[in-house]
Amino acid sequence: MKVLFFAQARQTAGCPEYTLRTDRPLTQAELWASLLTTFPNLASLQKSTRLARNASYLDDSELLQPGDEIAVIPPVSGG
Amino acid sequence: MQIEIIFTQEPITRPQAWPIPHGAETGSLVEFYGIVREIEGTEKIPSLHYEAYASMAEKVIREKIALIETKYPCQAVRIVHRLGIIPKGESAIYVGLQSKHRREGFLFLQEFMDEFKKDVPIWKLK
Repeated sequence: MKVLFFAQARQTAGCPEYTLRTDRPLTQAELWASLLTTFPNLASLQKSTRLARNASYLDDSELLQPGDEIAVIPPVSGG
Repeated sequence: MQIEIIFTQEPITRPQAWPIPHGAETGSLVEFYGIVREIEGTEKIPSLHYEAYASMAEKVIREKIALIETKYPCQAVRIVHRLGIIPKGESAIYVGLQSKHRREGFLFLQEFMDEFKKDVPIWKLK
């Protein structure tokens, strides 16, 4: 599962992307638990950050599949 | 509705904006330029850095347009968003809307920009 970091998430994680090895679907809570193990500083952004799966915002209960592209999306500010 | 979405590292200048439309039914062209402010609060800013998750940004923009179009039908929209370093006083976004009448053009643009700022994955960083 590829995880992309953007903007403040990229700055905080210190890298633009990360590969999370899993052979089963993950809940969003499990994804965050895994991310925070590797990137503990992301905890400060977790509340304000949304997740996207394959370029669509996630519903609360949606599972993340092993081949998905996940994006960690801090509050947006384009325009 | 004709939709054009362009991400560019180059300055947004008039040639990228539309010429006066010539569609037989087009009676209105509404244009908006979003500009990097020199003063934000009390802070002077020489430039901002914009980054995007471009594939998702385009997808979200198209979803927004599809919804807004049902309320305010327009004929064509062109959106240009500049990315990378944008100096103060230069444009970060251009939106042009062609419609039969001005009312739907103004209302479409207002709602589009409000929605854009809520959900489109583009960020400005100091």
